[in-house]
Amino acid sequence: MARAKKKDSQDEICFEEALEKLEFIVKQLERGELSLDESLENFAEGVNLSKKCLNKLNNAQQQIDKILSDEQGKVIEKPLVLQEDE
Amino acid sequence: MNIFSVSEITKYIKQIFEYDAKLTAVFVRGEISNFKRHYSGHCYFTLKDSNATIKTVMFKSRAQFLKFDPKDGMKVIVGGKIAVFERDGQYQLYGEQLVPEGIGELSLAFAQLKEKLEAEGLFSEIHKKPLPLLPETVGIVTSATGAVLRDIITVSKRRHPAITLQLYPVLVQGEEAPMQIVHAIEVLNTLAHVDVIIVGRGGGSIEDLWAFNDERVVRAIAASIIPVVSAVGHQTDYTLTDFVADKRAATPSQAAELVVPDVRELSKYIITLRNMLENHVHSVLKNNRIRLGKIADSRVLQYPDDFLRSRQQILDGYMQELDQSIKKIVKNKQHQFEVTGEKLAMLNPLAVLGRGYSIVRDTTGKLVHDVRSVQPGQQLEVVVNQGTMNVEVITTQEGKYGTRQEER
Repeated sequence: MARAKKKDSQDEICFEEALEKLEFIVKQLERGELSLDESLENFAEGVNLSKKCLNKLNNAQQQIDKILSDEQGKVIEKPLVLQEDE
Repeated sequence: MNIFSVSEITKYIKQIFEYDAKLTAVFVRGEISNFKRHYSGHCYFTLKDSNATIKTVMFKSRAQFLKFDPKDGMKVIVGGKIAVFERDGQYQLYGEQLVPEGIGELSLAFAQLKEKLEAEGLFSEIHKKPLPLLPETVGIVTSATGAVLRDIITVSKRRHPAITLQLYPVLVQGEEAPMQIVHAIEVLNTLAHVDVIIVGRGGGSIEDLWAFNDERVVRAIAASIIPVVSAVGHQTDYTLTDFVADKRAATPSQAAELVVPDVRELSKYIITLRNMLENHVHSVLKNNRIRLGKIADSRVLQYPDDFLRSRQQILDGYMQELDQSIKKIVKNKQHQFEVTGEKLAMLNPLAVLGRGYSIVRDTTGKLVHDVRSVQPGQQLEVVVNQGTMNVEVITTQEGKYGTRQEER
């Protein structure tokens, strides 16, 4: 649900799709059955996808972890601080 | 009056048992005596209390799943049906479930609920949702205090420092626990934006873990649109939550490992893929370059003049041949013409005059072919070599080719 929303708003493929596509392209290039033009096209796309994947991994902004509760159908968020039990 | 055979009346009694709702699904509490496990795997024993006994049989198909060895004197609850064994004319209890009394009641409830939900297909593999590879936000349903949350946070942050965790704190045991867990799952599904949910608690007795065997909790997890990973108790504890969850983790740390990818590993993998990509495209380029090199090295492209020269030579050859052929043809024709000319000259009638022949014409210029066309006294013209003579016919004689004949 959360993911579907993200996809709509950013109009961008998600990490899984990007990685899957990248794996597929590597496999295709590996087989070596593509023409030179296709190979170069695939290569460019693959590099692009790998960049996207790495960006998603590395540039994710650290957000504050939260404690959720809800009141009358609204979620209330508080920062999550670990309470050590005795 | 009807008279029955023994078989008939026994069959009749058997049917009465079979149509009785109570007898076909019954739980009986009692003490085991005369327990025998037949070599076939079937178990036979008598269940008794202070006032009565009932023969009991548990077939191998069920007995093989017993988690303990039933022994004489053991107080147990047997679930099953009561039916008639025709051969001996006896009714007996056909046990499907056998649990020790005491904790046995929870176990029995567990077994029953498990069977029911299993029959509904709640635990079926086809309902298992795949976990997202790279979740951004992980929902956690557990106690706000305790090692479970700490373990999940520690492992998650170690693997993916930027991951966002959202805890919906709940009681994990006691009366309130099931409804809180259900509510938390519902809230995470509808109001929050999490990609995956971990539901868990630490180890404990079967009573402590009981909230995670609650039917409402199991159904809430089954209904969750967001994938759920369970981490309840220790490795050896199995709750219904574990069965219904999309993935079961043995410990909270393992749950975090299942849910949160190790970004360094993942980055490494992607970089490996990219290197493969580069290697492949380099080899494609290299192969093409080699191919191109081979073509560029070919004689034709290296020494194009050679190619032209040899073609020129061939062309020259043809031109020469053509020239000779045409000359030969002309010569032939010329020769033919000369021969024909000579032939023609030989046929010229005037040429005959040179050989002593003459042509005779009358005064109108008509050729005299026949002696009978001329009369004596007629003027004629005789053409001989170098000139003509005008003569007069004196006489005529008929005869072949001028041979003299009898005069007429």
